[in-house]
Amino acid sequence: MTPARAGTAAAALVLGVLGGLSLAAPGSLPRLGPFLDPAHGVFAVARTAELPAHALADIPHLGAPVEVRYDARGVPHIFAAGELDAIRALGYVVARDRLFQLELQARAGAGTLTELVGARALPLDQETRALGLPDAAERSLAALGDTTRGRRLIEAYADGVNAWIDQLARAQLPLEYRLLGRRPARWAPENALHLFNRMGWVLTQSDLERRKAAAAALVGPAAADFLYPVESPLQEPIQPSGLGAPRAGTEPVPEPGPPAPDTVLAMEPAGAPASDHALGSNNWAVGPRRSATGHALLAGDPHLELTLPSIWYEAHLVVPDSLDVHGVTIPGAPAIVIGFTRQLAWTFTNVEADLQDRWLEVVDDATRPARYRLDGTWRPLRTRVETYRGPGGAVLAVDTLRFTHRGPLTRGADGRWVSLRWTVLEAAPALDALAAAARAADARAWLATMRAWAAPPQNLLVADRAGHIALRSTGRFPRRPTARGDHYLRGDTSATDWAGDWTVAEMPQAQDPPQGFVASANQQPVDPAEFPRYLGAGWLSPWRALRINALLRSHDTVTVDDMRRFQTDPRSAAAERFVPAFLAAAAARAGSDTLARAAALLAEWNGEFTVDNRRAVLFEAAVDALQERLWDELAGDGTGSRRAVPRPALVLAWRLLAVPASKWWDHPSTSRVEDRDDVLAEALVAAYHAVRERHGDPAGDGWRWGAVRTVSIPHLLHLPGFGAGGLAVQGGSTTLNPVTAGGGFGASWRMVVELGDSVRAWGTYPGGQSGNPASRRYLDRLPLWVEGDLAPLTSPGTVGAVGESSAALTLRPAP
Amino acid sequence: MAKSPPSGKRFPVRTYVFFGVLALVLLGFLWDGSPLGSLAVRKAVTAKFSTVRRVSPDELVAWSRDPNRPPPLLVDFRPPEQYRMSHIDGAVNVDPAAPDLAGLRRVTPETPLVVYDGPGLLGAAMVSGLSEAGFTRVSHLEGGLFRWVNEGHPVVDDAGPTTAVHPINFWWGRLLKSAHHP
Repeated sequence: MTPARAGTAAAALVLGVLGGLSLAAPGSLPRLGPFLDPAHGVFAVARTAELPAHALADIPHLGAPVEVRYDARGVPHIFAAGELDAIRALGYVVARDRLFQLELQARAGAGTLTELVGARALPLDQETRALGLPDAAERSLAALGDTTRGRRLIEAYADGVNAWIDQLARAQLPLEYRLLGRRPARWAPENALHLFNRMGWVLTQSDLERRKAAAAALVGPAAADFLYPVESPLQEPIQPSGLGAPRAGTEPVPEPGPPAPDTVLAMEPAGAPASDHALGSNNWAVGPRRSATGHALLAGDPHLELTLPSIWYEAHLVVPDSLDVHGVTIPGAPAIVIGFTRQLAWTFTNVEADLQDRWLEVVDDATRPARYRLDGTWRPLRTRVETYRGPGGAVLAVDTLRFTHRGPLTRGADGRWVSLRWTVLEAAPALDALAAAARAADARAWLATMRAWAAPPQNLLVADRAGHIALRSTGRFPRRPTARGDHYLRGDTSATDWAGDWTVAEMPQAQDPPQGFVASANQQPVDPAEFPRYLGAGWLSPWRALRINALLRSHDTVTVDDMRRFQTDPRSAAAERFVPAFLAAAAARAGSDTLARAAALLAEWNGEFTVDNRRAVLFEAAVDALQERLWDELAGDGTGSRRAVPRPALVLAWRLLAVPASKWWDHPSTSRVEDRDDVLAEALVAAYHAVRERHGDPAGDGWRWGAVRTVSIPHLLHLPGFGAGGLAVQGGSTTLNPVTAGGGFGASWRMVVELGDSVRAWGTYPGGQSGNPASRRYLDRLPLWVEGDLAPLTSPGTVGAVGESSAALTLRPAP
Repeated sequence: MAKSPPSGKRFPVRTYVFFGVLALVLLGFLWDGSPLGSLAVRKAVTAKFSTVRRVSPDELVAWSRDPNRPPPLLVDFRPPEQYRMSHIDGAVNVDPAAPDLAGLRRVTPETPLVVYDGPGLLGAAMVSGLSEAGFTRVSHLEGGLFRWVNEGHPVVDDAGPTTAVHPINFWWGRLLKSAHHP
């Protein structure tokens, strides 16, 4: 097979991953000949899988030698004389272990995947560029200037990455490059910006406007607002409300109504994923008063797509008298993103805020507009030409992008032109904020430094050795003169434009609150009864938030081990609410033996999603069947604007439990009128039949949760044999440790920190430090993660304190 | 407590038999104007699950007090330990795990039976055994014992009136008012 053929085959795999296009059909796999070539095939990959006991390398611009010691868990402890040197070393060690991942992630954000894998990545690159991400990265780079701290950090990181690439021996070339028949590209400093843009895209992309318009085309605007509400119907806010308990909304529920007459289809509807996706995260901290040892405790577990290698890489940076930070970085980021110092610890969850607004623009030409209408005058559109190149440099395609003063302008499926404004495209670079915050003396100073954090907004949680705990939903939240941002806005007037940002004081926050703990799990951050300003709509169901708050309220002497156990707690706040509803419906609609049998089986459940549990499967199936039947109004029929829209969050179904005769319960397709208990009973019976059919006898092993719901962690390229599948893990769709039906999302990093006289930390992630599948460090952390266990994260202060080291690396200034 | 049955006194079985026979004669004609057919037909009728009649707690109280109707025999279809904790006064226990109709041996097939469980699930097992034994007048207490006590009707144990009702387990117990949890 020629390298080009192999490259094409591997490109199909890349697309399968990045686009979720499932192109990794067996027929497109590369032939094994060159792959098994003893000189530079997979055997070379195996030979270079482990780090040599001693290694030496030169790095340009290094101010002084840097010593690196890898501990038994493969964590590099970097001892440098200056912070920029530490970042150079970080770039070097990350490249050494994760080179292909570095390039792939940066290219995804830069929209240059075609240069690595060829024309089949073109649609992905075109989407990335049409969103204006590379354009924004260029402007961010210009705004950084040549001498700022942020600029020096990304250049230092590039020094390290390129030092590894430049001295890379052919035998050290990672597997993926061999499959693609490519060599790694040199690392540009702005790749860090592309990476942050990519993270911004992953964490803030939303289609609220389209979703609401599509729902309004089926059930009318009031019902659409109910389905993706501005206020979650069940309030358990991040900023403690003082109630000490969740608050149920009492606003009347609008019934499904006649379709809205004028429906915007400004974007082609994508698939219809459920609204409660598994991208989310948990974090919480308890103050000294509620901790068993009298020290503050902090825990965090960000939930992201799980891949091998993992999105996270663990490292420890030490600069005497300046910096001592241990935690995880994302390959390409010149900082520890989540971690701890000798003084404090911090972790993030995503703020599910609405950061994208869309305007229907009036343009001068329906197909090739040059101007747009604003306040009675025509304004020119800014244009930008995007050129897509193949691996050999050949031009694959050229696009002309148009921008209004708001942002990129795209033409929708119905021919209308829509401009997008998105905070990620305007983020002031905060690359140096994380690095600077790691030098903070306490939680207050850390939070003050992180004021510069703009996008993607995060619920920043920090705890320090003095016992302070604090949480703040931090980022750039636009003020909207239109009051809301979940509907398409009029573009021909500047009166609809954003008018400034929330101040730091307005951001949802809590410092050492009387309840003695703080927690977040991507729920609506502040109860609108306290601060009724629009921050977003269509919030995730608050099940994880309810559960962690219930656990923390009921434990007033929390231990480190409690914190660890809570991360994989097997119970669900959704189950507590839905199981009684199913059982009450079964009693109220008694009459079928199957219903009685299903209800009896469900009632046998102890409410836990443990691996050996044999009843959780029935609950998950029943909730799924319930949503399918309840939201039948949203299926659409595919004609005109009547397209299927995504299921609303499960908490909306919970809201309807209190309205048993709502028209939402009735099936439009039947002549009789169904109510809540009819639909609950139907769903339970349907679930019973489905589970019996798929998993056999209720007493059998087929009903074991660990046999039904498993986690799969694919290789970044979905290379067969290099992923880990069928992992039985404690948790369900609505538990603190989310284990969803797709099985590919979950806790990408777990950390618990005790802020005592000395700071002690534990953590793990599902994978290993090495990106080389032949390495023993590729999957070595997986068993611990599957068990919900954590490893001690040791942070030796000096080279001599490292103890037994698995490998040593000395970095010297390049002559 | 206006809805409560008049007393905790049990009726002798022969009373049930008497009223059962009376009910057979009366209801047999009232049903659809034709006399009841063979035992096989009666079995078929009662075994057909959906035709089992339902009676609400209030209707049961009214029925029990109605001198013009044969009083029903109550069948408590729950495990013995749940029955021992409390039951509706006069109810005969039949253990679902080992259905033994010995307690009903002296009752005629035409005796009206009202069967109940905890939450009011109408399982086939609850009535099929009784139908197979030839009982033709099987009714089902809507909402079971939980609804009965939730609506304020009394229960008894060996010592007399009580408030506690066996919640079965955590989830089913959620359907039972907290005042009735043991």
